Amino acid sequence: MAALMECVIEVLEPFVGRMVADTCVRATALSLGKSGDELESDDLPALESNVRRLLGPIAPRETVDAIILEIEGGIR
Amino acid sequence: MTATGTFSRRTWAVLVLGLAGALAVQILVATGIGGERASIAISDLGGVAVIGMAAAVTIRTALRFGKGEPLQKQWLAIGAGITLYVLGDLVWTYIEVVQGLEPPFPGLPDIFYTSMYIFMGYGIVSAALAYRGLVRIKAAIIGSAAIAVVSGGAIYLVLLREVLADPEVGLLEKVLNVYYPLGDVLLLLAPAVFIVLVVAQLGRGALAVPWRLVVAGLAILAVADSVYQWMEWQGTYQTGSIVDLGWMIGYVLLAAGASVMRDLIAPARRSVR
Repeated sequence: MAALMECVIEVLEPFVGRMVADTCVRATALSLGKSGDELESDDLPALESNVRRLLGPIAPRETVDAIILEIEGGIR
Repeated sequence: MTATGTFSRRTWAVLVLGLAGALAVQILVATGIGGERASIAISDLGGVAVIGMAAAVTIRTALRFGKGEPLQKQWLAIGAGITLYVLGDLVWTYIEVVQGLEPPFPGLPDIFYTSMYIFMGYGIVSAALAYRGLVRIKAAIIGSAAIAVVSGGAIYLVLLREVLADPEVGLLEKVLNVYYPLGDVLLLLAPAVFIVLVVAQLGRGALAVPWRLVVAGLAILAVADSVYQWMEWQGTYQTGSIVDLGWMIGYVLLAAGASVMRDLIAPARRSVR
């Protein structure tokens, strides 16, 4: 599901840039034994948890919450 | 700054008022209005006001983040560093303006000035390390270490060798004369290079912008400190010198960085509601 990957990258990009956003999604996919394109909506919790873990130390908590909400909104 | 790339009015106010204040102080001092004592008072009190504003903005930013958030610790450390510097300046001002004496070196202000480096270095390094899950930091560590070694070597050759060899300089004075330039290199410049190399990997990402302003501020502070050390060693430094402007601008840029980081909270809150 390339759409999920693209959606997450699109939400993350304004904050961390295209390259890091891409790495973030691919790393999550890799940890699930998948490629970025194979990510499905079932993988969303793992993706969100990874986004929270990676952005938590560098971004305001409210911003991370909003990013997660935006990802969820983009998928539905 | 928001994720869309615009600074908030608060951030513009911090930048414009801070820089205008710093320039106004310097111009007033340069005109020599009211005589030498008045110029010294304007320079000292103006510096305290401008850098005090920078400390207040940075601490307010830190307190805006939730308790236990890593960002709060990072910005509190930076804010504490600026506050310590302001306290040092206040003591300096009291001695120079109220008592009408030449501030001693080493003296009470040095306790605050030397402590500043530790808080500032800790804040910047912990901020850079926070990116370790997201970007490669090994090259950034090596790059900053290389800059530290080269700059340290240059400072030794230009300044420290002469200071250490001078038999007329007391031990405590020697220790401080070594600590300040090395503190600039190891606790300001190297962490600044470290974080700028880390956030460079974010490209146009909004989370890089606050740290770019901080790095610009730290670079100006490091240069101002080095020039001050050299002028002090040559006996040419006077209150109101151009390096005072460097210190004020450096701290204003740190505060602007803090304000930009705070701006990044706003779009999130709107989305949540």
